[in-house]
Amino acid sequence: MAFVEFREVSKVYRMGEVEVAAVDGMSFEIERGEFVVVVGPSGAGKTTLLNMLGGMDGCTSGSITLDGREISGMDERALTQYRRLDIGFVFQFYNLVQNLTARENVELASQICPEPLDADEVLAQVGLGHRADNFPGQLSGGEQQRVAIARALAKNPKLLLCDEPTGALDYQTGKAILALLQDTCRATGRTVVVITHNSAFTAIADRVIHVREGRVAAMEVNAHPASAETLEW
Amino acid sequence: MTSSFGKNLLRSVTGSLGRFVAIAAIVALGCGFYAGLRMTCPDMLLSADAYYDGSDLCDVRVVAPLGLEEADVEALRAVEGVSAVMPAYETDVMATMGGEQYAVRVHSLAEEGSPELNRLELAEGRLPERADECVISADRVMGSPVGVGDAVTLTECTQELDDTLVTRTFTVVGFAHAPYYVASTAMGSTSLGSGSIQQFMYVLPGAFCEDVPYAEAFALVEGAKDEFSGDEAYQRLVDAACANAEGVSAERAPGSLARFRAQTQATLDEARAEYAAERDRAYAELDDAQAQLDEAAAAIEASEARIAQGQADYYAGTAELARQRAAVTEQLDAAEAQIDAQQEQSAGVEGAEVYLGGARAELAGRRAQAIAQFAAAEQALSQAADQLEDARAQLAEGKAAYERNLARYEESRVEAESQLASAEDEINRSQEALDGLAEDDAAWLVMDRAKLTGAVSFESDAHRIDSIAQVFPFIFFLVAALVALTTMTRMVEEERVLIGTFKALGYSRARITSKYLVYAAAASVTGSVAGIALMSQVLPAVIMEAYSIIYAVPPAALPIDAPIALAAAGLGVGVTLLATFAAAAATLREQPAHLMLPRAPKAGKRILIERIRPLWRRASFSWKVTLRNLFRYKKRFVMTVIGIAGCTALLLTGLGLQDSINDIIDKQFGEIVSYNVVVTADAAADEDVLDEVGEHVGVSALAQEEPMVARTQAGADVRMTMVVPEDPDAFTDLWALRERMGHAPVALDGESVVVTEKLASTLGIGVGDELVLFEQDVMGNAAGAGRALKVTGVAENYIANYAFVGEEAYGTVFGRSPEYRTLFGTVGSSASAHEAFAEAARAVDGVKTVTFNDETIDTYRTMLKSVNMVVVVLVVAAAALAFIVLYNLTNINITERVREIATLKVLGFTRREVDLYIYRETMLLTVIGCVAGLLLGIVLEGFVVVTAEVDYVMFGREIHAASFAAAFALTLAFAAFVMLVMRGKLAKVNMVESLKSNE
Repeated sequence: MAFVEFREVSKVYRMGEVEVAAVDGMSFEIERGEFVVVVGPSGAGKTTLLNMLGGMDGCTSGSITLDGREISGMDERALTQYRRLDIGFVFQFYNLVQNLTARENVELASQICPEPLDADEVLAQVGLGHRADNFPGQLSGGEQQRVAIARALAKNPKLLLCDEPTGALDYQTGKAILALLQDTCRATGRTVVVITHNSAFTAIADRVIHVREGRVAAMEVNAHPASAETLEW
Repeated sequence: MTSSFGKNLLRSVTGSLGRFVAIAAIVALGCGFYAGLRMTCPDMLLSADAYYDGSDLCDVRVVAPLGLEEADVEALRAVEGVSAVMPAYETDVMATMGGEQYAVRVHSLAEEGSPELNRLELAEGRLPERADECVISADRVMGSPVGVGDAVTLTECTQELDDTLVTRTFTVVGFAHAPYYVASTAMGSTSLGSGSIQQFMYVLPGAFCEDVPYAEAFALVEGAKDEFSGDEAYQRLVDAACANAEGVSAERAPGSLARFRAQTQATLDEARAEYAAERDRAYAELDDAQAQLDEAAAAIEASEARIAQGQADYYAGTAELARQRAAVTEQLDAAEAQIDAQQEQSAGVEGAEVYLGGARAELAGRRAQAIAQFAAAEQALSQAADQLEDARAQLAEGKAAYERNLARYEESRVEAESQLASAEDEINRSQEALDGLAEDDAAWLVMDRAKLTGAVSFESDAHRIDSIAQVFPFIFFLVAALVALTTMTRMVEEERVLIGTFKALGYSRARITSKYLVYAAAASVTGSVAGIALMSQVLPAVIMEAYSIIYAVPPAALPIDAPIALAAAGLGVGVTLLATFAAAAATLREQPAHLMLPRAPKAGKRILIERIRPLWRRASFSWKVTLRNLFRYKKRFVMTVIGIAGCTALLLTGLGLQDSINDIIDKQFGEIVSYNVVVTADAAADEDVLDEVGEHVGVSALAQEEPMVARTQAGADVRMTMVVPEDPDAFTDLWALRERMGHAPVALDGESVVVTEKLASTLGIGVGDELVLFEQDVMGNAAGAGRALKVTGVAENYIANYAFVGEEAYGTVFGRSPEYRTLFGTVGSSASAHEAFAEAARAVDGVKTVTFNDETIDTYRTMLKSVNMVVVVLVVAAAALAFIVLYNLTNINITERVREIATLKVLGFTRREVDLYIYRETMLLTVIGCVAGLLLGIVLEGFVVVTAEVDYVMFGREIHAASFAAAFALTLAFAAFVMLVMRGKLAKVNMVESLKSNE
């Protein structure tokens, strides 16, 4: 059984009289420890996929499992626990709490988990050991995203979900962040899912899932993914 | 505005109704409270004016010390500016109603044909139709002790009761409200009873004796009804009429005086003549008695002489008898001897024997005869002796009777002489008083409504509300400004990009600002109109309803006072616009390009508490966020803390006010005084009258009570009572003199002068300062020269003003020794014990009044009821304040931190954790606000208490611990309620928000 399984997952939003299927019979699988890139244009259903995989939204039909556990159909309380224990989330706009230092932002996550990683160690891992006492406002965008990654990692999640992690960053910084994510995946064996509209990222992925109009248009496995440092777009 | 800009404005109202409502609500609260409270005073005065006009309350009262005659009344009617005159009788009496004694002022109703002023409004029953019927007050705070049909018995009067009123027993036929007595707690003062009028009684003029002159006349001033009672135009008219009346008074005074002189002189002369006749009669009687005594003395003398004569006769008789007895015996013996001798010579002579025998027999016969005669004589003598004895006994009796009569005579002579002397003295004194009368004494006292205690009390209470109104709503306006500031700041921040867009499109700064100003104006005008419209009706009504327990003034219509409404609205809208302008100005100064970018989030900052490393390290991230946020958003901090502080302060003020009034009862009658009855004796009665009464009470102490006037440094007069205790120790057992703070006893001995706290603070004096006292005249005003006493102590006291003066100190300053005619005592607390005691005490000759404390206690319990309504208003206002502020704070916190909240949810925070993350700040601010509010509340309550206090009462100065706890707990409860309500909004925050960009 694959680590992540989407089987015929659909998500229909009712907008008044009209029903819109954001995701319409989506199926794919992800293996443990893979670096996955989900790519597709705006409106393809990436975000809906992310919401469902991240436990932020349920699906209308189909089933979603992670590590053998069925997520679809979980109630609010169970979903909260799922997000809390299994998912590490990296946002496009970092979403750090402005009022907490880098370390405290990491602790924000680790304090609610049963087996967290040490905040300082994780920060050192993402290369920010020296900025642990700085507030987000005192950090650059890339640094903030590193803190966000550290926050996601500190929870020791089964799955690291990244929503356009480079979207708000410049080219070089974006690359460095991708490299960090790739390295993290390689070094810790953690499954990483990056959602992006940028198809250039597909080169560095172990597995690429192309999404179009609410369906998986194509899925490919890279036998030899490139290193993020060599990436250009 | 049909432009797109206008539509945008309209949509921003409908799109953020919560914000709009928050501003509108706080402005409504502020403006409403301000307008409502400020309008209460004019509304009260308006009601009073309407009531006075409707019942023809006198504008002017003329009191004639020497009485008014029909001619005087006519003269008064002719006074320019006077439109109607009603002459009336008046006297003060002590009356027994339902077993209790009350000081009652008796008024006469209008005579037939006379205009009817001070018209009564019947609440129950009917008006008197017979001379022995009366109506009494329907407004007595303690509830009437009698009902319709019950009898009222008069026991005492300021004048000779039977010469003043035609009956001593009246039947109550009705209860009425009297405009002349609008305040049932301030009916005026009297020389009877406890010194203040407790009840009024209206009777027919015919209930007053025929030769009693009118005591006063009530008058209406022409055109005064058209003016507002108490304002300048009114006062001008009344002053003019008063001046005219005084002019007439001056004209009539000599005549009045002469008439009075003549009348009184005639009475005096009559009295003198009567006195002379009486004296002559008394002396004649005495002379008669003297003559009788003399006669008796002569008779005694005569009988003494007779007895002496009798005695002498007796002795002479006895001697004569003895002499005769001797002579006869001698004769007989001689005859016998002769016979013996003849026998010897004629021994053996025949015939001689016979002859001699015959002679002897004759002799024996003579001897027997003599013996019988002597025995008879002896018996006669002994009878005479017995008679003498009897005569002697009679004489002794006669003498004793004489002595007795003599003593009696002497006694009655002394008594008659002293009675005559005192009668003469009285006549002389009256004569002196009469001779001493000047024209001034005949002058009328012309008084306007400012001398009407009830009306004055009502007016000053109205103004008291106004002083509170000028301070109280301040807190609402402050909070309104802060709410507007934070809300509009948030709104401007939210619309940053929009502002940038407008700017980029070429809209001027003024135009863009105008959007926010118009928004704020719309909200605040809506709020102020709603608030003013509602509260200007509700608040005056509630306050007047509360006052109606004390005052008879019925609430009139409640018009909206335009200047006050405009001031309130102006203030409310003004502060909102100002705050809005301040909020918009900073953002508008930025360049459009800048504005288009999401604003850099406010950077986190380290706070002071972080320096305490061990503490900080242990704090969870949510505590860290909470603490940092507290200092990060200062406006919100200030708004919430002040808002919550206001809420707590209002609650504490309300509860504290209740405590204060409760304390009047609990402290005055629970801790300070332990007597429950006061008995006064008649000034003319013997001093031992009260000793006799004292036998019926448990513990008692005697004192002299004297009404006095103390003068403040500013020259205002304060009526108070001077108490000179006979035995300071016994007195302080019943009246604990202590300091309020710490309860240290205040020493009282012969040299002490202890003043009560309220008096000391009104006079502005303390220990070591001088207390200047004046005696009271009939009207209760200061009379004579002031006498200075040095204050040795200040004692806690809540009701009335007292100075406790030691006997020696009193003697030194007043130059006389006190007369202890007041008894403070304890009797059982049950009604039957009271009744039994009252009966026993009144049975003692010379007892004037018997007053129990219960009456006073009832008065204050009633006051408490009126305060309860005010407390309800305060609690509602406090709740509204807390709701608005916390709702607004939470609303802003949630909308501003939507991303943060969504992120936390994505991170897997449970609902509880998310709630706490946001609410921890609310709770902390609430607690800080609460603590600040308790401090503010102490100040506010103190202000309200001191402002609401009247001269003769000191409210409790302590807020009870329970009230602090309740204010605190209630505030927390309000906060909890808001948090509970807002939880839904928090739950609705969508996690997808976390994926959105930062705008």
